[in-house]
Amino acid sequence: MFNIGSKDALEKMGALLKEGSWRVLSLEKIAQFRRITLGLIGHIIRTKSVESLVNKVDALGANVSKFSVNMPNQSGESSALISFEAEDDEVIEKAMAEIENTCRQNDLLLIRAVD
Amino acid sequence: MALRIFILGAGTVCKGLLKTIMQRSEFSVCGVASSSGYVYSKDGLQKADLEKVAAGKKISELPGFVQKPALDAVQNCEYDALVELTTTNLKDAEPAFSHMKAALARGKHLVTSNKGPLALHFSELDSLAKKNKALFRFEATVGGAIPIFATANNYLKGDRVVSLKGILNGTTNYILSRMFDEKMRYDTVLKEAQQLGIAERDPSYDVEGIDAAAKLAIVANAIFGKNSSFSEVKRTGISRITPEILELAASQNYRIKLICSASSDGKMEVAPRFVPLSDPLASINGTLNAITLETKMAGPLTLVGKGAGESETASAVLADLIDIAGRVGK
Repeated sequence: MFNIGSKDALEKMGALLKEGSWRVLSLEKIAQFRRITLGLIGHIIRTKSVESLVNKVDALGANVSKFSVNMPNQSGESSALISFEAEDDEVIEKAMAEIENTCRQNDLLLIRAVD
Repeated sequence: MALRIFILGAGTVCKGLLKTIMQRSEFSVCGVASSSGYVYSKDGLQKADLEKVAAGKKISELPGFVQKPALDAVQNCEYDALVELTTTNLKDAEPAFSHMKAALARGKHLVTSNKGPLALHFSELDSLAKKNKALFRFEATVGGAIPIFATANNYLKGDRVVSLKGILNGTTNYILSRMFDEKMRYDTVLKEAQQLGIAERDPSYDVEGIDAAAKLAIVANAIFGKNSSFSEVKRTGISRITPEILELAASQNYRIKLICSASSDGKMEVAPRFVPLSDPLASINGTLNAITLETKMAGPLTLVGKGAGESETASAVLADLIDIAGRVGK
């Protein structure tokens, strides 16, 4: 059993295996996860805002796959990067709403990726 | 017969334009105005006088100088096209807005590099131009010499732009590029940019995204046919960006750029954004500008070029004038 990263690649791989006389027992549709990566700047450590945010996003059913914080000094603003994945658009929307709300409440700058 | 043009604003763009336009037979410069007054000749100003203006001589030192507001010339002198090159004012767009309205009301063609009136009153000017059968061109207002409007209007006629995104402010792009390349803090790079003349002494116009928002409103209005003011653009500047977030973004194959984005449904935003390395905008560094037009049929088209400068802006103004001369048969 192995995983292929995209639906197109999966279908091509399946066709090639069949052409090559391989016996394909199961060709399952892959889960279409969307990954969202965001940047946050502000007093992240002092307010502990992002720590609880990660838990909230997790609780919504999104998988937080990366969370890194870099604090240059005790008084300055910290920078954080958070990546989460979810299959369901509704979960992504709820997670984004939670993140935006946390940013507003804690005066954090939120950086999104371009569409 | 040559297209008679009257130039308002005797600054660097005017000088750059004069150096080129004097060599072209399809144009005759019949007037130049500054904030103190104007010089005018119905049959065209003497080449020797224009050479002096191009070399930096004040127009008040030329023979026939009239000490009256430029609006007097716009309303009373004979010319075919007004070239409005005065300084941008995003508070009330004056005096350029009055100049433009007066020229268009007389059916005079209009070419401008001044963002203010277009960022605040685009649809009013556009309607006035159409009503009076005047040609209205403004390529120099956004992206310097990058032919954004010419591309959208002339080369995508059978297609439709559905959204756009771009880097439309060279100062902020320079600051973000230097912060990333040299791992320098925002304040340090801003000081460096000010010393180099890339940033103003009061940098808020650039770093808070005001200039980018004005340009975005112009592009969105012109391309999507909207009636929006730049104050409707959702805006976030770059002053909180840290070298650490630039590094964290790079670890995930992103660059951070101040991105202007707009779509045909009316959304307009200027904000620092993660740009994946696979996107052409990620590799736009220094003071360069770029814009990606997302089209329905042709997909994304990205245009890149210098966003400011005497010769770049003059090049865009000249292209607009040549277009008008061609259309009116001069």
